[in-house]
Amino acid sequence: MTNLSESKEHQLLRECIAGNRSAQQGLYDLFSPAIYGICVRYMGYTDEAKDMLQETMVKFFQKSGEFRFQGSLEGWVKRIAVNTCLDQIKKNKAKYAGSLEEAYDLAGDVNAAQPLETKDLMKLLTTLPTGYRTVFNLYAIEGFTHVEIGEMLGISENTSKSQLFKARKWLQAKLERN
Amino acid sequence: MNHIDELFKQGLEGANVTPPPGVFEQCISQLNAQPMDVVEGLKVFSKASKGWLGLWSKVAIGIGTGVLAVTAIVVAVVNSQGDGKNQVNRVELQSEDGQTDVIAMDSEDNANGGESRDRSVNGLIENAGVVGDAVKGGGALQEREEVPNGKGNLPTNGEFREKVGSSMSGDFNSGLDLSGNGFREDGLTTGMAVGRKNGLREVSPCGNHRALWRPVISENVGGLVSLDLEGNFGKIGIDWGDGLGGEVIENRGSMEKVSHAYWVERNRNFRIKLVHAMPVKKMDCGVIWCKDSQWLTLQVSPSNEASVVSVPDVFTPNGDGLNETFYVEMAKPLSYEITILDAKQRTVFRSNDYTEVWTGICGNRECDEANYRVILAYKYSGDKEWKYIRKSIKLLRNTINNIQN
Repeated sequence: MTNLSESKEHQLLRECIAGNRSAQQGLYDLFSPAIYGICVRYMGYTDEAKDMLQETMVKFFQKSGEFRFQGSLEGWVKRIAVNTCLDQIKKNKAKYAGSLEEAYDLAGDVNAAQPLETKDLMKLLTTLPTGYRTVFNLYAIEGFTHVEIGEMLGISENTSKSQLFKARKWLQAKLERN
Repeated sequence: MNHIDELFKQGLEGANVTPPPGVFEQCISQLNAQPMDVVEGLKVFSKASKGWLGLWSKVAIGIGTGVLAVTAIVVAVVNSQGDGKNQVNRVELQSEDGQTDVIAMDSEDNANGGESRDRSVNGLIENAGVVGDAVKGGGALQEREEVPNGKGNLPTNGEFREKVGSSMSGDFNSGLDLSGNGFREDGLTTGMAVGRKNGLREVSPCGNHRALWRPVISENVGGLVSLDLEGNFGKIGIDWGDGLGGEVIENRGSMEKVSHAYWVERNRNFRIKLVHAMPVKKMDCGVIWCKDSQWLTLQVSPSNEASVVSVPDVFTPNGDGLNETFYVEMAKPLSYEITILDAKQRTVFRSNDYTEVWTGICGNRECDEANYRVILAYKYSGDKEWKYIRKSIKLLRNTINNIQN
């Protein structure tokens, strides 16, 4: 992200905090595709992903007054998105105990031609069972350590490691099949 | 790095996916939705305590070397039909630098005053104590007291302008005189005029969220104090005033109950400070933590004065439904031990639980009709030593015979 666009973010945010509706729309337009991308990565192409987008943006608008105008606004919003998705996953986990290890055969095949494009990778990723997908997202894409992931999800470091291992194996198998 | 990780990271980090339409509109409607709990909270309190309506608020403002006492009439204009058109009228001071401080806040939720700083986004309840409580309404609640606050969050220089604005609705209902002081329209009309002339319309979003809660002492016996936190609140920090720390209570429902044990050797007054913080969204963006505080003063008595321990003389475990069990009537002690002996000094009943009753069973059979010796030991807050009660009690089974005799 360039300095120019970063200052555009900040400018929009200042206008938004001042009560400018169009600035609010501007911020939404600016961030929503990336945020929705994160939501889909964590929740799959589901209604829940849409709900998480909405919740993230609402949280962002509500908390925008707390932004200190230091660092990347986009990074901040993305962090809200990841946390919002994680909260939802934890809630779901409580509701449907055991679904983290949900059956493999629920996942559909991905018939992607090489080379893999973003949308194919996304499809592939979203076929992962929730537990694997969450850990894989956090470790491989967000770049958290297993210790951090353990704390975020309330699981042990070793569970995080084994989930990541299984996720990779799953993805590898899917890729080879293609 | 694992090649799978790399593949996905490169492909998906920062991946944009076009969101479904209509989400922005849903966000906006969610942001603008009037929180129902606030409205309900207002209703609850308007029913619960009419005394909260129409309070005088006084504030002393130091300007330069002089002190100007401003008395602001407070009139609550809350639509009694509860159709959501709650009105809040405010008296605010604005200095030249544009900083606005609310000095009086009417509506029925004014019982504690205490405007938080709008510019503060610090949500830490620990810091709430520094919030200037410029206005203290005299509370209708028992034991509430006014506490002047000299934190000085009012501007001390520049030109002051008084203004009265109304939020949420332009429909000004001046016909209500809830203050009961007959002092309404003149003051308000003047205020309104000034407000319009200067075109000042800034309204704090904290207005509708304050004082929707109240603390009620539900128990205060022998050093054990229970406090009910009623109404709608976010987080409440409690300082029990005895130097033994405090706690933060989060609202999980309509009422939270919290207890504390004081240790006193004689009657002592304690001042409990409660600081409330609640996140409130601003008109369009952002959220601020609205803070207000309340104080309670209560007298805590040591046990010997506060509680009556009553040991009955007779009990009749004969199945007639009357006086079937033996127990000591007393408030919950800190420590308790009861021993009941028969005529041969054998223990027939012993307990450390003051709620446990003796049913007249000796071992595995019914006790004889006879006299029994009760030795009761207990301690309340402030008791250095155990207190003892020794008493002879009578166990009767055939009550009719006894009456006839």
